[in-house]
Amino acid sequence: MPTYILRQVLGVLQTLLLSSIISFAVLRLLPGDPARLIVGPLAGQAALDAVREQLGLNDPVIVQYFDYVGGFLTGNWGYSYSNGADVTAVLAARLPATIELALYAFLFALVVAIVVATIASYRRGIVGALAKFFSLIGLGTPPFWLALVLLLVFSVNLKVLPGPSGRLTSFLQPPPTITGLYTVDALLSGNVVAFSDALAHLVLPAIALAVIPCAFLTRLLTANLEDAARGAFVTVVRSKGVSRWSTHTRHVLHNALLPTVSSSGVVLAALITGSVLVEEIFDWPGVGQVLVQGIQRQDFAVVQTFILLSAVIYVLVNLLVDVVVGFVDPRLRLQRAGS
Amino acid sequence: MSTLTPPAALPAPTDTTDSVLEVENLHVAYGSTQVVRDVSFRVRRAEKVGIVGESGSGKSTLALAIVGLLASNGSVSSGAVRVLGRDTVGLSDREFDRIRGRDLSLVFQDPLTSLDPVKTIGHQIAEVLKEHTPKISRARIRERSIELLNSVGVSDPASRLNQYPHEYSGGMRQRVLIAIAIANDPAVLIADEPTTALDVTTQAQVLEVLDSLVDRLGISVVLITHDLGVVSEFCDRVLVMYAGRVVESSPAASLFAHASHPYSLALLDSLPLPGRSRSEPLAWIPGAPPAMTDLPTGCSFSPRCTWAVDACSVVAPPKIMVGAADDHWSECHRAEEVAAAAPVAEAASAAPPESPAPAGDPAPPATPTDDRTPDASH
Repeated sequence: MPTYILRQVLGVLQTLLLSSIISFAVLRLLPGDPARLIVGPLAGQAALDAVREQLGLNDPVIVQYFDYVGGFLTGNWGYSYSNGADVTAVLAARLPATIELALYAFLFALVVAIVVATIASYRRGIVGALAKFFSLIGLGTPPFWLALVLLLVFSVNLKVLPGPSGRLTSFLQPPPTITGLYTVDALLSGNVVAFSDALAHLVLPAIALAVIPCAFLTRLLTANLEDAARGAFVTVVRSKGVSRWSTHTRHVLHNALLPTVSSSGVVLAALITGSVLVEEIFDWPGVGQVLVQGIQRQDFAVVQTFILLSAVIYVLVNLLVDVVVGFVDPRLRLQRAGS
Repeated sequence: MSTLTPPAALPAPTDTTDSVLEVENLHVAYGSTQVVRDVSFRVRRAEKVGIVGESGSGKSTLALAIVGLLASNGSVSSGAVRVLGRDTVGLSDREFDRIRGRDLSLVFQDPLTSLDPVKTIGHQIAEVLKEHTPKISRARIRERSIELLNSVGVSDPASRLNQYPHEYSGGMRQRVLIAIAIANDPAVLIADEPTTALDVTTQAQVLEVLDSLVDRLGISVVLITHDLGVVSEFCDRVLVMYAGRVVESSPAASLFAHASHPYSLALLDSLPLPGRSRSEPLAWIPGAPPAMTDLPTGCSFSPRCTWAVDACSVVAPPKIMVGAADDHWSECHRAEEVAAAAPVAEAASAAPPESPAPAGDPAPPATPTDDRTPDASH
């Protein structure tokens, strides 16, 4: 057990170290001068040098790197070069919105993938072929395009769901912050109106964001299900008199879920860190917009922090998945207890 | 159900009503390829029938066809399978589910892959009990599961119920599979190579467990194997399969003394029997089994057969009765000659120690009549 934990911790540290170096290096290597951006094109050399000094840009690169890592670890993520905002405060305000959207998209992708893959692998013929066809189409659907189509159909034409107006209708008060997720906070504080409004705002962006991961998970799970269905134990379960459908849902699905759960960690992490375009379209007050601005303005502090934060999220989500897989697969439980 | 009645109390086996499993002119095909051709046999109550053949002879397909679990591209093209008198060919999946695990059960080849790796042993035993007795209580399931594991020789069953398959050894897993198969006191148990994946010592133990259980519970067994040694220890009757057909059918003892199909003879010759000189190399059968898509005309074995004459590759041999009793036939033009040449002396020492007519075997052989037609079931 201690060896297992030690291995995990070392793996995590290694991942974080590498991503901190990469996030630091990439922005330094890009052409452009943040100090010039801050002082403006008309400022003189003296002003430029002063800002350089103030930002630590004249320090040796290695000192800059340690300043950056030290700052990240102590929660001091610096100030935006472009507008002076406290990066920690900006991200703290925006991250919950992104996480809520990603969680709903993930939930949607997972549930749809399980249902579709289970049916597709059970009924091989036309149903299975259709599922495979649509999951292939889904993989190639650009989320921003789908987002526009969904808005046109459900918001503009049918008028059943809100348009691109953020997380909540403007005249509603956001629920008191408990988790930062509006739907959860609204439920916890018993505010049904805010809950249903927040949920309605989530539907379209979540679907747009979920389509590619959903198609990916559907294909993965279908393949795993078809694999598991060929196992010898399936014949034995059938020989007990258990129907094909029960065998499929109770035994085959359980076995097929193991590799799918492992991959779903990457999917969830990608959803949290990759929702930029969809957030843009739905005017979602998440980190996506800040990130895009940060990149355009060469805002080191914002972008660096976000890249490293993404790495942390990946690592955390995958640790979580490891725990979940342990619950689903008894063989791993024993291995861990034994090592 | 009367399967719990000890075999001794059974009425003398006289007519077909005593058959628990009848297979009649069964043909099974994968796509357009016939892999089981015209197989007929009958299994009496508490009888142990061995089906022997090499890989690809169609014996596993036969087993799956009997339990109705052929792969989706396989199907019974003609013939009948009667379980306790009820024809199962053409039953809907749902109707067959009522029979599987209750009247008819299966012990499968590879114990290592035959249990669901993510469910506890207790869960997998409970499943077969619940399936056929939906209102069974949890306490009763537990009690019965412990009883079953005890009867197959799994020690400390109460605590092992909560374990997973990977915590069991191969031999123990096969015992669990046997426990599952006998859970509802079935009439017939199909065992497809139940010991092949196990080491020799474990093989013997598992066979012993199976043997004592079927004797005690009066379960009939169809044992499918490539191992004549296993057959000689375990079975009352033997069917030898080649290229999807049964080519010889005989009481076990009689096969060892009077094998009357060249293929059976060759199988016996390739067996390392006690009494056979160690310096003498084991015999093997030249050539390979034919592809089922391209069977030779006449007798399928003729291209590999050392006894073959011109007629063999032209005319398919009929069933020819061998010996005085009416329970031994062979599909060979030269059956009588082959039987006469059978390695009687060597085989005598290898024959099973039991009497040639164990419980469940037919009563004294009938006097042969001149116009006797070969009966598929004998």
